[in-house]
Amino acid sequence: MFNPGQILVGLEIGTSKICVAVGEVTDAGELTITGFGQARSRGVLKGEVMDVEKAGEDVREALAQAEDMADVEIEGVFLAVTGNHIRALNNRGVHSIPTVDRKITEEDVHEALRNAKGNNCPAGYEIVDSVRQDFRVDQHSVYENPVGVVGSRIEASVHVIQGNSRKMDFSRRAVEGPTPVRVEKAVFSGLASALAVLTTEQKDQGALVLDIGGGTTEYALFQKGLLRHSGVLAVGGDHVSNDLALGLDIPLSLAEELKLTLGAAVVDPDAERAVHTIPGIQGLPERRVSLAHLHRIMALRWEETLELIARELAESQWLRQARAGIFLCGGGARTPGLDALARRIFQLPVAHGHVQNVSGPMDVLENPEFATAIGLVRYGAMRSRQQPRRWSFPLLGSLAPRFGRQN
Amino acid sequence: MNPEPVSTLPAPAVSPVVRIVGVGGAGGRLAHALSPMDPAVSAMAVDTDAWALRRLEGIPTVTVGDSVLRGLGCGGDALQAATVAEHDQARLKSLVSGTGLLVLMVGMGGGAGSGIVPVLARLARDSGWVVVVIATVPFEFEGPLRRANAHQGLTALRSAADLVIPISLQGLMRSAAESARAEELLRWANDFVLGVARELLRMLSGTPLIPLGIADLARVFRGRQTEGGAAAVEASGELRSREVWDLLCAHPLLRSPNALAEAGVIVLQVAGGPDLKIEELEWLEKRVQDAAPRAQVLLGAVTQPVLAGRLTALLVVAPNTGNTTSSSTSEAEAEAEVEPSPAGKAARKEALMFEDLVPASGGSAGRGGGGFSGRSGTGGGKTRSGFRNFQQQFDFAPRWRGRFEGVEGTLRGGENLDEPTFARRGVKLN
Repeated sequence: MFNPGQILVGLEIGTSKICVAVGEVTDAGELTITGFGQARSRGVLKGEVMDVEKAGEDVREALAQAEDMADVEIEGVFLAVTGNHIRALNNRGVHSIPTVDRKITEEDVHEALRNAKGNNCPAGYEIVDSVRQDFRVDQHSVYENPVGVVGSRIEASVHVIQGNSRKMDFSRRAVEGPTPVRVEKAVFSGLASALAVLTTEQKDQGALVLDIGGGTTEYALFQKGLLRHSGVLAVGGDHVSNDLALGLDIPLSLAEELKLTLGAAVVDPDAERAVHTIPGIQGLPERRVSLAHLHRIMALRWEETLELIARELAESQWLRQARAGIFLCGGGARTPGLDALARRIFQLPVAHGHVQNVSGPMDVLENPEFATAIGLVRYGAMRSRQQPRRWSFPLLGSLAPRFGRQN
Repeated sequence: MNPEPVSTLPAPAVSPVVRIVGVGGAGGRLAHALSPMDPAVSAMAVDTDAWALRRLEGIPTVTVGDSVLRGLGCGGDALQAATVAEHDQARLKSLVSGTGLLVLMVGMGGGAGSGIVPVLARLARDSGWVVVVIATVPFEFEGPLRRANAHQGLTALRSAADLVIPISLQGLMRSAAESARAEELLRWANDFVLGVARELLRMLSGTPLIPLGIADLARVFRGRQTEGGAAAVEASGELRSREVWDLLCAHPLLRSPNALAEAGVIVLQVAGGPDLKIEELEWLEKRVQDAAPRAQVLLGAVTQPVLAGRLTALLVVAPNTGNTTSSSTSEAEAEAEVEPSPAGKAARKEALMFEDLVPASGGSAGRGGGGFSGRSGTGGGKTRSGFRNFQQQFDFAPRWRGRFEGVEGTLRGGENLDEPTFARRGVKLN
């Protein structure tokens, strides 16, 4: 029976596909996916909605599918946002303890978090997510939860993800414009994917999630159960197709097809002399495409993409300690050889990320393209569980509360 | 009768003197917009149109050629403007009494700007000023007359000024969204110009951390007579230095793939609040040095309390004027021959596209040929003055981007990642 209090919906407006996941939290606290919807995506480029009208039509189609399958009426969704406009940074905020006894209260912690969160947000940007990290009291000791500690000054560290308001509004309008559905909360898609594929233990051990989509690649690095670093590189599978189309001088649709059927992220020595013949259509002569060229073009693009992310993360001390390894998800994760390439570049174990601790249709749970939408459902479940509390939000681990109050 | 006599101009300050002079309609408006930013800087406007100058309240103005034109303007005739400017030399000279840094702001294409600026620049240089010209180059659709004016003005300026920073409106238009309105685009262009001028002023008015002054600019730019690029950006936040670098690399006016790699001189001026860190300066300087291994890099840093939490950077790039006598077009062609990659082909195409905007060689002004009277086609790039009288041009056209053509680029480390990796790396596919 439909119960709006328990139905959670994740919506990802991706560059190549729109994915919807409908989930339900059981009385035992388990998450079950009860429906899903998928539609082609038009009007989205590099993760950003460029044509609200077309994107809205596609969203409507995917939502309708999901409603039919789950037999629910969707009223609100958690919406994934990404794109070149997303910026993530670690902020610090301080607060002086005003009381005579200098005992830190939840209010003090909240105040320090608020100060940290609000720092460095340029005009035209809004905070998408803020994740609390650790605290220092009087510039010395580090605490996960300093409530009750005695000190005169508390310093909070928060990982903040910001997005351009105007660009995020395009995504919201694609949902709220053509449908009566409201956006409950915009969530950074890299964070949502990580929530889907990582277990608590992996987050504690240290893990990097790479969500390789059609237009963007998101990354989220966890260590000691906390989100330490995240970001977006607005490069994805579309760039590979585009490179192939330009490099091999073939139409984009054919490049897309060749990428999916013959593509690889590493150059296959056996394919050095291999040639793929494309039959001529409508009287045009047949075309011969060198597989070595195809692989080389793809390898160069994927290598560059992963190297840029590795360079970005190299400045973070946490990457070296990601003992659980790297987890690949998103449509790009299907590229043969991408895991080996990532292993070589990051010098860490690499695996394909699978949705964890969620029940539902196996074809959905095992599909790397649904990780973000399912992660959004999990995000919603965690959020609703925590809403009664004023500020603490133990979203990503079993230790002390680690999230600041969400927007 | 001169409606606003020169004697009303403020006496030049003792030292250092930074003077902003907006020439022509667009230049005057830019100088007017800049004047409230720093009261220590004297801004003024020069035009042939007295009525246009009257709208610029609050800054001194000078009408050139009013005895001939009666303050009605030159009607887009740059030659006439140059002639009256030569005739009114005494009045123009009074604007550049003393010595210091003269920033001329001009919208090329109109008569007054294109005609007067070379004369004023030459007079200022002869008086010992370091002359930097920030000039907007008109859109292609503005017609042949304005393009010709801009072309001739820029050609004359190369020998008259120490550094010319051209800002191609057509290039900005290519970088802007297709749906950008004309008004937005012009405002954007104005912001670029004002941003560069503002940071130049900050260089001289902030509390120096690593001093960089007029003398340094004079040393590196004097006699170079080159056409360079400039970008001013600002960022805040923890990763602000990285963001500043990304913004600089993404800047439409420095986006040419070789803009930094082929630079001869780069001035990097960083400004921040009291929280400015040495590591930030070091990091940025290293990025510039890595991107421009052959360039002489001058780093300056100032602090201003008002910049707390923020970081601004000004990058002025002058191309290498080394021993080569080939033009930019032929260099681009030679490069394309060595490396016939798609990127190379694109570079060659761009060079040819740009050629019709400003000729890379020939048609250069003779020594001291401010204005158009001294114009002579020497060909081959050799000049009587011994200076290299042509400059490498910055191309403003986007490269090969396929389906990402016309959309905001994904820029990292000076590269547009929307362009194919193999093309950017020059990998041959045979």
